[in-house]
Amino acid sequence: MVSFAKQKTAVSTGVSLPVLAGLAAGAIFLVVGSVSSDIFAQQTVAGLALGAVFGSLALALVLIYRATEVINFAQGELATATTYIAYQLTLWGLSYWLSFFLTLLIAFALGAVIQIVVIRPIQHSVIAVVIVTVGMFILIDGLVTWKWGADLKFMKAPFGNTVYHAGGVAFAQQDIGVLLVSILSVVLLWVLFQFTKLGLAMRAAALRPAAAALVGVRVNWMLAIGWGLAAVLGAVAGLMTEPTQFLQPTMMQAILLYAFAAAVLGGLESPVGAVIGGLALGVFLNLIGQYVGFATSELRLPIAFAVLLLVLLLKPNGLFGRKQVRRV
Amino acid sequence: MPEGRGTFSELTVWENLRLGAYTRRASKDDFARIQTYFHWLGERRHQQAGTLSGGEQQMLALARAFMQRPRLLLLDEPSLGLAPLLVTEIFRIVRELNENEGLTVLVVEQNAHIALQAAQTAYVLEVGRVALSGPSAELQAHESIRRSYLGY
Repeated sequence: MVSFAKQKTAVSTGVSLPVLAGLAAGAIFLVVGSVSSDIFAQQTVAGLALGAVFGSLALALVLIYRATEVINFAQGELATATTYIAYQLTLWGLSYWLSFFLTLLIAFALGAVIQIVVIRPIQHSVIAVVIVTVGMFILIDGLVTWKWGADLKFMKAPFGNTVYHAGGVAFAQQDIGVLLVSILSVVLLWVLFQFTKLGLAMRAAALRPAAAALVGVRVNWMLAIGWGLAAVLGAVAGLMTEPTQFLQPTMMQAILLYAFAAAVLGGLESPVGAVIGGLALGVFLNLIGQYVGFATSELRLPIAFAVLLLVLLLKPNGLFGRKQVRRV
Repeated sequence: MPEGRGTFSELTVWENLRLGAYTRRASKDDFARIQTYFHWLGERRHQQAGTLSGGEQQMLALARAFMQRPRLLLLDEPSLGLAPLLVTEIFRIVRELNENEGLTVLVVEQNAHIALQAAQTAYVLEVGRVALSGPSAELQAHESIRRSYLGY
């Protein structure tokens, strides 16, 4: 049963002025840089595409964190598994985009079923849920390797390999496509949460389960739908990672760590923060890789976490986080 | 309406009202009608409920409960943590809802004075048993009630 113990009071309303100013300065820096240097522009766009993938997986983490107060460590593996499902569908002769949308449906069902079957019986204990998601990480990883093998697989390229030229700048169609698909899925989700009755009920259930149940919201169903939507976002992230990483069971493991960094950067409770955190991280890593000599690809993850640490020292609740006081 | 309001403080005033009507299809009329009792709800619809004052939050909780179109409205300690002036205001509105909308209201309240004034019928519970019951006016005049609950 739900209890009244979960009572939170928001103290500040999220975004602070210095954070906004910092983000604006960052955006201006990117625009000015892109105008004055072609390579800078290319790296920025590629970074945004990479960051959009981080952002969608980070958003999946945030969705579940808000509802369950748990990080779903299996989110990345689930994304990998659903990407393999899409791969299997294309092997059976379906077109890429048909497989894409079918996979999103399957991912939704998978996420919801996992919540109902595995998570719901133990959801009263946060630590049990965490352990179970770690277990699922290992389980799904094993299943994927058992079914499809550990070697690289290749899917059809969703966006083709065309490169657009604007002035002296070359934009890969793939980067633009990844960016558009990721942003579109995030926007659709936002519309769902902000403007529909279902979205409102889901937010209510996540914020105050007991009060939501009192007005007639089926809290358990909302949680299942939340897990389903998170899995859909994960599937989008997985499918948008595949063109650059190719398909292998470990494909999303590093991405999950980046997504986690992005989510914490954004404040863990904030969907907007997760997306912006992801985009910022993607662009930052790409530009660092281009312009800072020692920042080789092996150092990307440590650098990402160094930045994260620095931000958390300055803003312990993340860029868009809010201070929370628990009433006892 | 539970004790301690159960307001969704992170959501806006309007979203709270929409949630009140979650189990049915709310029409424009419902929102209009609720504003005849709580005039300020409309102009502050986009305000985060958590930033309202305690009294306003209590009124929002009452408005939200009313949006559910209950046949029987149960109020648990509506005076909890409110200034005396606001308690009077809340009970005035509860009375109005009762009289204008024909809404039956059951209030559990430790502020016996105001509860007896607002209600038509009252029950006094002692360790879980009904010790006394009857029309409020009679109970108000009752000797032992006056001593133990009203304090004069």
